[in-house]
Amino acid sequence: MTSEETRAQQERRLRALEGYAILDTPEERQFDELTQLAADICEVPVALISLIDRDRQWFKSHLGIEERETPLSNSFCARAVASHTLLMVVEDAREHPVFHDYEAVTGGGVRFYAGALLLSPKGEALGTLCVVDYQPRSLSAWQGQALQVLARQVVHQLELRRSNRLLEQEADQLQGLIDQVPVMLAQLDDQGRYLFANRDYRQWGGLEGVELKGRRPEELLPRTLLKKRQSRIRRCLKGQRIQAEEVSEDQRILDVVYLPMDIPEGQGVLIVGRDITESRRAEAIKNEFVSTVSHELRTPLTSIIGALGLATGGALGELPDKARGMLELAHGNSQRLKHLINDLLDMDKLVAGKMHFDMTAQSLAPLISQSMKEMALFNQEYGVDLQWQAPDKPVRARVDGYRFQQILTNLISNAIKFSPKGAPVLVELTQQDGWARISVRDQGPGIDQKAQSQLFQRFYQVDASSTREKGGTGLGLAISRELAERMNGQLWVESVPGEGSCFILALPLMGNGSGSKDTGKRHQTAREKEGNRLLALHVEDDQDLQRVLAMMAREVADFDGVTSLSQARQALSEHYYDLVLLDLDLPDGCGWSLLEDIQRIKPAPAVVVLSGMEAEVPDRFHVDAVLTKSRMSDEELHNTLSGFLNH
Amino acid sequence: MSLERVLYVEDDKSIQAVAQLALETVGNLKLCICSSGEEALQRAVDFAPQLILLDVMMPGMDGPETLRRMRNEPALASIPAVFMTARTQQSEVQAYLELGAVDVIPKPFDPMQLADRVKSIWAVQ
Repeated sequence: MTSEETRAQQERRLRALEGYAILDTPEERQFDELTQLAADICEVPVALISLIDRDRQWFKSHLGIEERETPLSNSFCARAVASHTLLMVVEDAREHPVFHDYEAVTGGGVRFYAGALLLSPKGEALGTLCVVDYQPRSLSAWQGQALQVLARQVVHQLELRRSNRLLEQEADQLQGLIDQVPVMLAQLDDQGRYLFANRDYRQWGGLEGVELKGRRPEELLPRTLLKKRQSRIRRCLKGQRIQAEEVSEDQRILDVVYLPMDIPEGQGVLIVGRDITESRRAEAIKNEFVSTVSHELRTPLTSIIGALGLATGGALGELPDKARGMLELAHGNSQRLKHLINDLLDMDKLVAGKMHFDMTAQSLAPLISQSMKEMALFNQEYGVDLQWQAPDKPVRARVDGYRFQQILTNLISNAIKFSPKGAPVLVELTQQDGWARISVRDQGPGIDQKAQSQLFQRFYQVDASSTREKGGTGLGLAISRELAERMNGQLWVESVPGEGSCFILALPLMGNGSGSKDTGKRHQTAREKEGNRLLALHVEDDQDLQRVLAMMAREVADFDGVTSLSQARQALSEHYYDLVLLDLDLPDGCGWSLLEDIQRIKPAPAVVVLSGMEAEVPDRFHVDAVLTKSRMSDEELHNTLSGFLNH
Repeated sequence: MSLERVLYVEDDKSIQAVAQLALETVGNLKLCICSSGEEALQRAVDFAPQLILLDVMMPGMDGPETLRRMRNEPALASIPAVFMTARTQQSEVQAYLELGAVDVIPKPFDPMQLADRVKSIWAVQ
């Protein structure tokens, strides 16, 4: 063994020792118990856990002597480590050729020494578990074995200690990370007691420096914060995901999500809260800004468009041809500016989800006819052959009439603008697979595949130069598609370059057939809009019972109450409900007759029949649950309705 | 009886000029043009309009306040009023109607159609 190898070995050993971070730590019971056992087994007064540092031996446990460290010179243990002797036994040091002049022997009176190597899992010798006596003695074979077993236990303890330390470091790191996350985070156990909370959560609840673990929010949080929180935690413990806005004591607005979360004890709750005060304020400022800008832009535009409109409209008398041409140009462009401002405001409202839709079930043909009349005026300039193919029988859909016409106007004006003079533009209304289809077909230049995919993006125009040539804003189709989707419809294009284009608007039909789900954008139900609650229609002529049920199910559903079939039909045509709670015995007929109307709604609301006695459901109807009024418990109602929440 | 006399309140002189042409020349209406809410309140009773056209945003007394005061004046209380405004977000329009206006004409308006629009609003009332 060369001296370099020895040095390298020594460095490896010291690094291994360092990895345990054990040197100069306080005494620990689990190590002292092992030295006590070693001393008892070997029947000696001294037992040590000796770790060999660079220039000292340091004792993690030191039974029978006061010192916690001694120099390396004249160290039995250092010798055992350097020679890598698994069990070194010196029966009488005074007689031993090497150890007889060691200071511990000559000055300290040591006669007997036995040391078992402490070997790390990688085989590095860290030190020894050793026993010492002041008189010569021998070690029986089983005592030697026992000493080695105990030495391995010392290493296990060192390993365990290191693992715990790493885990603690990771936990600290994780806590540090969670504290840095700019959201409020807290976790509750299955009894609604805190498991942890991060810094933001503690700050928000005034809980800095408070020991949270094992305590409930109601013991710690100010009353104002608790108001609705307790019921939300209770509901979340039952498995509901809840999102709600909460206002803190200092009037900050929080967006809080309660997430059911599996923990070893069962179902816990993760609370995630975000302060949205600033974004709310920014939103309010932006809305005010948009409104102000639109006003400030429109005010001068009003007189520009007005003056040009009067001049080109002939209100100022006959104009020289050249002057008329120029003024018409200016008039057209001022109109374009007006449309651009309107489009920008529409897009802004759509993106912010602020556009209101007044959805009514209505026949589409009259709306299309009206738009065709308006577009006939626009067409005077272009002179295409505008044709409108009305259907044989009424086609009804739920739309906002104004927004529906906005889409049509956009599609038809595009078709007119991109068609050669005299070419046909055909508008057709048909029904197919539960969908009303309005198609606008032109014989313009057509659109290639790549452009088709980008056509509905904001500010996209197939040919950039056409923005100026055709006078569009580049927002029309993006807005139209958004509008179509907000009305539960779809808008797309079918086109072959050179053969014209066909834009198709599809809306779910009302009043017959069934909209096949795969061709339609899924309806956004009231439940999705309002968070995890049901919007239910309760059809029941006993208003007291309506109130009682609304109370019983207040945690899962909001109820609209009606007392007759006719009111129910009206309500169903005006709103979308997740669920209909239906009494069978109503003043204007039997509840079954309403099922036909309900099953035409796509997607159909869930139906729970509430009957006075046991009711048989006729074969042709689908009912999700039947409850008997006289036997129904609070819990049964709650559980039945909760079942629809988790769909 | 047809619409003849309209009280028109608008602080922007350019828009005034356009609307005057649109209503007087194109629409053959007799106008009383006021540049502020205060002026409108002073002149309205004497002019005895059949319809009031009111700008919303004006320095000093704004359109809604002018309308509120007119509603307290017995001679003016029942005359239909129409707001003309560039603030046409749905909530804003709703708010104007709740203030007691019978209709809202968005700006920019089509000057060749303005008189017809005003007349048809009046005819419905």
